[in-house]
Order: sequence, then structure tokens, then C-alpha cells
Amino acid sequence: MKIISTIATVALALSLSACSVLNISKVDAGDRLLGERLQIKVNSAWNFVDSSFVHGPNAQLWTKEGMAIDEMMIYTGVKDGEKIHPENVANAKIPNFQFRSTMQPENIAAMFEGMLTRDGSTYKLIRLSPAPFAGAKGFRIEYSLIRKENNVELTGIIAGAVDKGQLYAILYQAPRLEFFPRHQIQVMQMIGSAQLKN
Amino acid sequence: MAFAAVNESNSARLQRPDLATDEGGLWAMMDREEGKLRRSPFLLRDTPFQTYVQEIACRLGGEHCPDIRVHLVRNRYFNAMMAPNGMMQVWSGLMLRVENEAQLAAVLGHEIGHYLERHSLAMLRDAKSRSAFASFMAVFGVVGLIGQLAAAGGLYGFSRENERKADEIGLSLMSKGGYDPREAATVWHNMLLEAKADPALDPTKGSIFFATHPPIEERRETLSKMASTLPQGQTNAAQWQERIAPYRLEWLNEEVKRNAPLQSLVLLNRLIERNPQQADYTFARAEVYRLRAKDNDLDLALADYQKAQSIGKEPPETHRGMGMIYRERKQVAEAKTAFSRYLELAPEASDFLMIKSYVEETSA
Repeated sequence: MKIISTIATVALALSLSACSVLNISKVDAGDRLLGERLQIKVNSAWNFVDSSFVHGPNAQLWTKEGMAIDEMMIYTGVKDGEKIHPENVANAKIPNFQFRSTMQPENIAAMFEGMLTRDGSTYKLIRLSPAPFAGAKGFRIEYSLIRKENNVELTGIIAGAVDKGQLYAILYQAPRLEFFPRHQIQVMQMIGSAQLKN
Repeated sequence: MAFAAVNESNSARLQRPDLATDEGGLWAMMDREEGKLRRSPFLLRDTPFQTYVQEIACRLGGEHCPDIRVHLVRNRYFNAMMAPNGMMQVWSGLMLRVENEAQLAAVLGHEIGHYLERHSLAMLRDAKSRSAFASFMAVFGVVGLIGQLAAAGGLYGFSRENERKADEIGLSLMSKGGYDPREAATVWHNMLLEAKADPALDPTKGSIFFATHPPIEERRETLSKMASTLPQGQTNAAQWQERIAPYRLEWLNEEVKRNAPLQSLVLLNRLIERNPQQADYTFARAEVYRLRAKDNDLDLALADYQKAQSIGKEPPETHRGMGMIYRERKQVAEAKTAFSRYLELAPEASDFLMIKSYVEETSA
């Protein structure tokens, strides 16, 4: 998978080399409907990375600075039993992480921690707190991550909620010193703008 | 005895090879990697603990002690490796799994065996293609892109003969160091049990330490036979448990979050059997059950949380775990009691606000 898993990044690169170049397109500011129900207000241009062939239809990968620097994963309705990341084709022995609709926020936080550390990165939960998301009773996870690949310290935030048995969430992470603070306000505004269509 | 002959042939300290040679170039590269490792945030910076493990390595390495530099690394997988320049890495996943000094010595001795026999040089000369070279580098724990390529391209390992030789030397060294040589076969036995628990996630197929032939069963049997001819020695289980105590819970939490419940349960069952009065292990098993949450897992989790509590000195998260299960089962009063106890024991917890909201929810 692209997000965070270093080894999977290589896998992605290997799979890409066999087919075509990565398709990246611009997302302009404005209201956007992502998936069937998640609506957000995009306040400035982002890059959308077409990774549907690995992430499936219920997750999107966006970036401001480029995938090697910052990443935003938007989960647009992950169903019960679905993985929150692509298979690691290069190393099938690394366990996968699936969403279950009965998960409490603590379990969801553990699921994301597991996903983020699949490559051996080191994760530290800074805060897990209740916070509404998209009009639903939700959660907010703040964390730091030392990326195994290059020892860079990242700051991350995940805001989300489970609604009608599906997971809706926005995960953003970027290097702690420069890039996270640079985009934090925009990301928080996008999180705050999220709505779920009935 | 054959083992003595093996060790005597390696008594002279290795000299730094000429930089103009391929071996000298390899040493220089490993020196640079060691510099990076020293700065890495993954390094466990605990001088007394590092010195303790270094002393075990020195007890095995004898005259080579000044050339062996042990680095303790935070990584939840079972691994140890030694680079040709004397840089040795010991991962936390290994330290969680070994039960005593003798088992650690078995692994360190094996790695020192590769070092003494300069097996890496033969491997270097065999690694002609770029991908093979990347895999070769990964054998020594070189991280970054080159290591990723290694992971993607398949693991590289020492030859069957080299592994056998390293096993022999390792066993000889641990015996000479006063450790019980029978513990070497136990290391392999324990890993075999984990591997069999979930073949899809067989750790021996992903670990460079294990990514070699001969197969584990064969090595275990050979080591066991060889050990039977040697005098028994110390295991130093109590010393080891005391030393790892400050890290035990952190390493257990990393194991739990690995999401390999079948393997984790085999590991934790073993550790609980060896240390029944250590609440951390029972708590960790409860967490594995709770996160898996299949069939009667929540009942098993609850029983383990309660057991940890009865043992005493249980982690505060024991009460959080119980609260989570009660909450899911809508046992409001029990959930409130458990969560309140957790908040009382862990007022600085990172999930304090979330758990507090659960308590408030039960009061509403």
C-alpha cells in the first residue's frame, strides 16, 4: 500500500512499472462528494493519486507535497470485513488489518496503529478523544510516527466515525517540523467540513 | 573435541581489510551504516542494558570482544545480525522471545560464528546482480531503500554449510561461556511452534535469521544432539527477566498490535507458562483475544484480565480492556467501574478523554 508501508510502496512501484505511470490529477477547491456519501469542502488545490487499483473503491489517496512527503487517506465508507490498506504483494507474511463494524474507537485506533507500523515504523499515540465527524459521533486520533524507511518523524491525525456500519475517516500525516504545521489548518478545515449524505 | 578445534582456529582477532579490496569496501560501507544506526531513533538508548548484552557477547566472543559492538534495536520481529565489521544488531522482538541469557547467547553465538568465519565475504562475492546485492545488504540490517528492495526481491542468506558452521561455533562458544548449550535447540523449537501456528505468516520465512536452510527442524535436532555431548551450564533466567522488565510491557504491546493472533498466542502461552506470576504476559494475551474478538474470545479475554488483576501489579490497561468488553456487552455498571479504575490508575493516559466519555455515557 502506498500509505506508510514502505515495503508496500516498493510493491506498488513494482506493480506500476509493469503497467503504466502513476495517474495524478488536480483536485480544485470546492465541494466534493467522495464515494457515495462523504461530502467535504476542499479549500485549496490538492493532488489526487489514482490508486484505486490497490486501495479499492472506498479509499482515496491525496497529497499536497508529493507522496514521499505527505499523505492524506480518505476513507469513504469501508465496509465490515474490508481491509483498510492494500495487500502487500511483496511480503504476504505481514498481517492485514480489517475494519469491523462493531469496532469501538479504541479498536479502530489499534487497527490504524497496526496498519501504520506494518513496515516496522514506530508509532506513538498522542491522544485519542471523542470528536464529532461528518455529523456523526466520532473520534480523533493524534499520533507521531517514526518512519522506518528514513527515520523521519511524522505527525498524524485521523478523524472519523462509523455510520451505518461503515467507516468514514480522514487520515493526514506529514513530517513533524515543516510540512504538518504548513497544512494542518487546511486539513482541519476539511475535516470540519465533512458531512454524510443520507 | 570438534567444537574446541573450531574455536581455536578463530582465536586471532580479525584485522581490518585493505580498503582497496572488496572486503575492505564492504567494511567501509558497514562503518557508514553503523554511523547511521547510532543516530537512529530506533536504537534503544539504555547504556546499562546495552552493556549487559555486550558483556554476554563478550563472554562468547572472548578475544574478539573489542571488535564486537552490540546495538539494541526497537523492532518487534525476531532477528539478530552481525555485519563483517563487528556491528551486531539485536532486535526487541528477539529479546521478548528468549527466556534467558543462554537462549540469547545461542543466537549471539551463532552470529559471532558467521563473523569469525567471514561468511559474508563469500556471500558478497556471490551477490553479483544489483538485486542480490540489495538482499545481501539486508542481511546486515541495512535499512532504507536498499533494504526495501531486498524485501521485495526475496531474501538472501548464508549457505547451508555456513549456517551449519555458525551453529556449531555458536554452540561451542555458549558452552565455553558457561551457558547451557541445550537452550540453543529450545530457541529453534520455540520459533518452530510460532511458525506452525500460522503458516501463512511464518516468521521464519521473512526473517533473515531464519531465511536459510537447513530447515528449522533439522537445525533443532542437530543442535540438540551436539548439546548432549557438552556439559550443562547456566541459563540465568532470573537475571534476564529482571533486565528486560522495564521494556516488557512496551514489547508486548508491539507484539499485540502485530495482528498475528495465532502466533502471538503461542508465544504468550509459552511465556505465561514460564512466568505464571507475571501479570504483563496474561494482560497481553487478554489483549490479543479482545482485539481478535472471534467466537468466545471476549470470554477468554475477560478471564485473562481478571487473572492479571488477581496476580497483581497488572498494567492499568487491564481495567480499560475489561471496560471495553463490558461496554460492548452493555454491562453498564461493570463498564463504569472498570473504566473509572483505569482513569484513576492512568490519569495521564493518551486515551483519557475517550475513556472519560465512556464513563460519562454510563452516567447519562
